Amino acid sequence: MTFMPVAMPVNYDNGASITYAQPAPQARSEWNDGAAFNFANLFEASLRQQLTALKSLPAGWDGEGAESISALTWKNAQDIGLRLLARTRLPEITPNAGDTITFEWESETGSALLEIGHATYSFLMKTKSGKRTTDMGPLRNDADIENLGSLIQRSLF
Amino acid sequence: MDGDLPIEIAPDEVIVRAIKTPYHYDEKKKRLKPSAFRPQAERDDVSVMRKRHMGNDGCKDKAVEIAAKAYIGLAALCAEEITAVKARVVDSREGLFLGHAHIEQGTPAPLSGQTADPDLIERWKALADTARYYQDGEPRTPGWHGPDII
Repeated sequence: MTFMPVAMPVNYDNGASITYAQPAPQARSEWNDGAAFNFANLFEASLRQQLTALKSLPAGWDGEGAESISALTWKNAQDIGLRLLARTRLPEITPNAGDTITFEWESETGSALLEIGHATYSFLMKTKSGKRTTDMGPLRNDADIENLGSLIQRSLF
Repeated sequence: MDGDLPIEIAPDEVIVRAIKTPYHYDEKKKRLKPSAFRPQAERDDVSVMRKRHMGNDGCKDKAVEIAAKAYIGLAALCAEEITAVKARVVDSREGLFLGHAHIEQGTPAPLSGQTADPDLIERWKALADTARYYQDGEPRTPGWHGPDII
């Protein structure tokens, strides 16, 4: 299979980094010996690694008095992140000062931000063609998140 | 420059925000993230500096004084660029330091653990997209050694 040249760095604890072209979600490849290789596992590992780093942020990590990321926000972000990986690409992950976490996607066609908190999410997507999509709601319905993942994939990639 | 700095901020005045964590800058895409302009929970303002009074060196040194090792660079906007995204910049030297100002966004960031209204997220993103970021190549050296902050 042929992959588009989209940089997909995966960083390891020892500082090493490997960059993969990111295939469509759930894509599999085969080595010369026929063994299957699931890229989704790599993206899942990268997501977990980025989120794990947020666990240890001390209060004031932003130099201005930000709160630490709570276990509740962290777990919500991990659950939603893993769910989204089945629908779209690995996001950039950013902690926010008020104990929330934002996932960000950007492509040549636009950008999307999904903020996750204790019990709610907020979503903003803007395409370069001018379309603006927003959403907010409780983190009760897995289908809402999966639909957002599909929307991001369709609109940006 | 001295205490003659007027309270009023001219539309073309350069306003500088210290970037104090790598989480506020996307190294791969070379752009600031919206969180760089997101206030603390329940506040509607973020601290900035008036370059007119502080100069490049003063802005950098104050940023290091406040953020210590977390400091990574400076972001700049003109006052009129801040106004264009429905925020405003006001002098707030009282009890702080001459040259200190706030970007006020009118609507406070939500309570801790609550997610923000998408309209507010859009405003933070607009500030981040508009600001010019200057990575500090010598963050541990006193004074600014990069290009003029404009």
